[in-house]
Order: sequence, then C-alpha cells, then structure tokens
Amino acid sequence: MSTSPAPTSEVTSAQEAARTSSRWRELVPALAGVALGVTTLALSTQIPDGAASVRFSPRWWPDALAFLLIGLGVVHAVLSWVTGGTDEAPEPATRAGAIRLVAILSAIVGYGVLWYFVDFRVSTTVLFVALTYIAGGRGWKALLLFPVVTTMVLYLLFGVLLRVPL
Amino acid sequence: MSPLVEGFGALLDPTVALCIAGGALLGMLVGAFPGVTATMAVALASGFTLALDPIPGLAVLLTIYVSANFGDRIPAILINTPGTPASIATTFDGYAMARQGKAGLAMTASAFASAWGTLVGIVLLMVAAIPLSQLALRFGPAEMFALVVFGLTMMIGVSGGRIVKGLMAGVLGLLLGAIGRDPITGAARFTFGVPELSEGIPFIAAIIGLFGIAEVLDQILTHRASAVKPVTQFGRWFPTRGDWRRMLRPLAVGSGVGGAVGIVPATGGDIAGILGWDQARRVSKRPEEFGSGSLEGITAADTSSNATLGGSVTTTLALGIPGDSVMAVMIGSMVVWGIQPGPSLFAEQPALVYSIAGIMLVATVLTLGISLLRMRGVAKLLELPPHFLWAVILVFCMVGTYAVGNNVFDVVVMLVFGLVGLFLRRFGVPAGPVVLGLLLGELAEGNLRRALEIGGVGNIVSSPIAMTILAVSILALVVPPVRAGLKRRRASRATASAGEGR
Repeated sequence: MSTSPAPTSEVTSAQEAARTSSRWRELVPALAGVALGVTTLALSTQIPDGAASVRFSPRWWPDALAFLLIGLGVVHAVLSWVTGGTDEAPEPATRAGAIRLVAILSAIVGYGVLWYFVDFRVSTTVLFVALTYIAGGRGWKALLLFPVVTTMVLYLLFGVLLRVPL
Repeated sequence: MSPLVEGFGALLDPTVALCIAGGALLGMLVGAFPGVTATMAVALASGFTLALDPIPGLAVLLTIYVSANFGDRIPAILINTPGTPASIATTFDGYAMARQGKAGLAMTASAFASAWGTLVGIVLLMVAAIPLSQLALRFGPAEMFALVVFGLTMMIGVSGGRIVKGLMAGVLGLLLGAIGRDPITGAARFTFGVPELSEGIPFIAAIIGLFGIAEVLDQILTHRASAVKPVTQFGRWFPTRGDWRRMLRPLAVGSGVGGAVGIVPATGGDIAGILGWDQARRVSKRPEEFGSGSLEGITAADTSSNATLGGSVTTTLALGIPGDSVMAVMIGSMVVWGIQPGPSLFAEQPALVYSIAGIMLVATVLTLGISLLRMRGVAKLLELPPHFLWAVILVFCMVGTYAVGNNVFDVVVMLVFGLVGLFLRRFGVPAGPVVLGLLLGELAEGNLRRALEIGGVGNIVSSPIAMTILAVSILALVVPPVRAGLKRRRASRATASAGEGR
C-alpha cells in the first residue's frame, strides 16, 4: 500500500495555505502603521510652528516619527510578503469567545452609564453579576455571593480606606 | 545621619510592614495565577498605591514585584504553565520533577534558589546604583538620547524574531509620548482641545490598559477548557545534603547570569532564566538530565531569573531607563509621587536606594517563609474557574484607574488602550516597546533636540560615549536576526547533506 505521497502533498498544501494566510495577516499591522503615519503627518500641520528662535519646530519630532513609522510599515509589508510571513500564529479566537468579548465590552459601557445614575455599590454589584454570568459563572455562589463580597471589598479599599469619591 | 541608617530607618513605620505583608500575599497570589503577570499586578496596584505616601506605596509595588517571582513557579511546577514569563525556564525541569513525584522538592529548591537570586540582585543594587548614577550624571543631552535609544532597542532586540514590529511598536510609543505639550516650546500637540491631554497620555491608565485589560480580553477571546490537572503528589519537601551540594554550582552560575542580564535595560527574568538554565547545563557534570527533571536545572533557572530584579531596579533608578516591563510601570507611579528616576535621584535622595533595598530584602525573606509553607491548597487554587479572575481584574482595573485622578477620562483611555493592546497581541506586535516609548518619549525628544540645537549632528557624533551606546544599540537589533538566519542556513545545509547521504 503506497500512502506516503498523499500525506506529504497534504502537509505541503497545508503549509502553503498557512503561509498565504500569514502573509495577509502580516499586512494588517503594516497597513495600520502606514495609516497611522499618514494620519500623524496630516494632523501635525495643525501644530503651531513655535518660536522662530528654535531650529527644530514642535512638528519636527512627530513628523520624523511618522515618516519612520511609514517606512517601517512598508519594510514589514515587503519582508513578510517575500519571506512568507511568520511561523508564530496567535492562539486562535473562538466564536464563543468573540461573542463573550462583545457582551463583556457592552456590559462595561452599560456600567459607565449606570454608575452615573446609581450608587457605586449597586452598579458595581450588577456589573459583577453580568461579567460573571457572561464569562460562564452559574449558581448562587458565583452570581450572588461573589459579586456582593467583591463589591464590598472594593468599596472598603477604595471608598473607605483610600477615600476615593466613588 | 548616614543615608544607610536613614534609608533603613524609614522602614520602621508599621504602615510599611503592613504594606509589605499585603504586597507579599498579593504578589504570591497573582504570580500563582497563570495569565496575571507581575507587570499587570503592579499596574493594577498602582491604582490604589498612589493614594499612599511614596515609601509605603513603593513597599506594596516592590513586594508584589519580588513575591510574584516566587508565586509564578507554583503553576510552572504543578501544571507546566508559567505563572509569569519569568518562570518559563522553571517548567523545563520543574514539571518533569513533579511528574516524578518530586513536586515538593522542586518547590522548595525553587523557593531557595529564587530567594538567593533576589538577594544577589539586592547586593548588586546596593553596590552599583550610586556609582552608576554618578557616572550617568556626567551625561549630556547626546549621551542621554543615546541611552534612551539603547533602552528601546534592547527591549525590541529581545522581542524574538519580531524586530520590525518591535521597532514599529517603539515608534508608536514615542508618537504617543508626543501628545501634549512640546518639551521645548510648550506648544500643544494632538490635544484636540481636550484639556486632559495637554499633560500627555495618562501613563497609568495606558499601562493598565495595555497590560491588564488587553491580557484579559485576549484570554476571554481564546479561552478553551483546559484538561491539565495540577499534580497533587508532592513527595518529600526538603533537599538532602547531597541535593544542597548539587545546587551550589547552578546557584553560582544563575547569580552571575541573572545579575549581568538584569543590569541591561529592558531585559527581564524570562531571558535570564533561559540563559541561566542553558549556562548551567553547559558546566554541569550531568547535562543529559537537564529538561527531564534536573534539580540543577530548576535551581539555575530560578536563581538567574530572580537575580535580575536588583539589576533592573538599579538601571531604572540610576539611569531612568526601565530595567524591565514591571519597572516601566513603576516609573509611572514614581513620577506621580514626585520621584523622578534618573542620575540625579541618588544625588538628591541617597537614602532612597537603601529604603528600596530594605523593602526588597524584607519582602524576599517574608516570601521565602510563605513559599516554604507546604502549599497543598495552591493546587486547589489553580483549579479556580477563570470567570472569577476575569471579573475581578476588569473591575479592579476600572476602579483603580478611576482612583488615580478621580477622572472618568482616565478610564476611557484605559479601555481604549486595552483594545489597542488586544490588537497588538492578535497581530504579534510586542506591547513593551509601546510603553517604553511612551515613558521615554519626552526624554528622547528633549535630549535629541537639545543636542542638535547646541552643536548639530556633530554634537552626537563627537561623543565617544553616545556613539558607543548607539553602536551597541544597533548591534542589539542586527545581531539576533543575523544569528537566526545563519542558524537556519546551517540547519537547511545539514538537512540537505543528510538527504544526499541517504
């Protein structure tokens, strides 16, 4: 039974697919760097030129950094395209993780609004319940005891001991 | 009064003792939880320590720094997961020892090695900090600019094979540091009419976002249920006389490697641990045991990674260049307390070096004591579901950041930097150089512009110190990829010749 060619070609095509994906992936930070550099150059025109007695105006440093960032972005794009990207791939995100992340960020934004209208102790307990539930906590210990105790500790530390106006 | 007496005398305040005790427990805990790094814990603690006086505040932060470097060995040994990056090399032999039923011995040896390493670092701090700062006092703008470049390139040079991305991160940090008032003329830059931005990006908020929030968001995004169960068979705890004898050589090697690596700006315990382990293997009579449960291996790794602590503090305080990422975070707090790390610090406050050494000494002894308690309960702690940890970190980050200036703007900045940090992580861009650039941006720009205003480029080129530092900086960037390329070429040649031989 001759099975060796098939796995080899499978491995090769999988490697090739990974390299292509890595190439595209590496373009993202490169393009982000270039975009940030260009934006900085555009925004730096609004910086006042400063006193004539100074050889280097306040724009000089951010402009130099912006050009450097654009240059590095281009170098990174070219290098990663030519060499086939990097072997280091980040741990893949999960679909459930992405949903959890959006839900948690929404809860944090909601907390910002709630804290404005409701007492810190109440709003923070609600946030703890929401975060724990979204992250997978269930049962009275996770959803009642833990939020109440942790909020009390936070309030004692920051509100009472450190006298932060919460 | 002599600075030594004054420095140690400042620690007699009971508040300091309380802060050290609290910091030790907190540091051990955060170290023991994989995913909570010492950098993140110190960033988090900055939120509430800013309300304290400088010495008690430093006592909390420095003790967390010291004790997290003990606690992080526990998961490295019991579940093969480093609690912080500094304990990566602990996993090489620690987990293998635990699987052989020697977890107790591994944890005790690790605790003694960590304590010894930290003590070596403290001695280095006490001996080298003041002379180094006196040397640096002679530095002009050209040399100071070169020193900032050195710090940045060292951090980028050790970012693995990500030199260009590391450089981009450093430049991004420097650009963020340009937000606020121009250091020479005072003109507003990129403030968009927001009054809070005229003082620049708030350090603490940015750091908590980049290290705390980003880490948690990344864990939330990628979390999968782990099947790894902690080792629960601990075996004997204390080393025999023969074990102690075997530990002597790696203790010496680890001390030397860690002390040397620690003094180099921006390099930390992770690199030192691996280098120390490797050097100890080279000089060992039983190199074949390294990586499969060697007592010498775990001793060398932990001594070396902990010996960097004193060196990192020395570079930070004497030169104003962060010794590692924890120190980068701590500089933010020190500046808020009115302590400006740099060459003039010890000329103005010589007692401070002894206070800091004293805090680290007490923290080491206390943490060693805690480490020697036979912590079977820690194994249970490692099974704690992550949702408790995520919720606590997120809320502590928000409330702690708010507490720094009682300002919602800081919380918004922290969340934005959390998302930026998540982007950086997902695309393999190191966050360390961003923080370093942000912290050192003003120093870099101010000194470069002053140097150029005084005598043009010739002012830098004619300074042998500046040129030497800049040359070493360039080497730090160029040598690692060249060496990696040569290694790859040698490996491919070896594979090709092996193929031909068949």
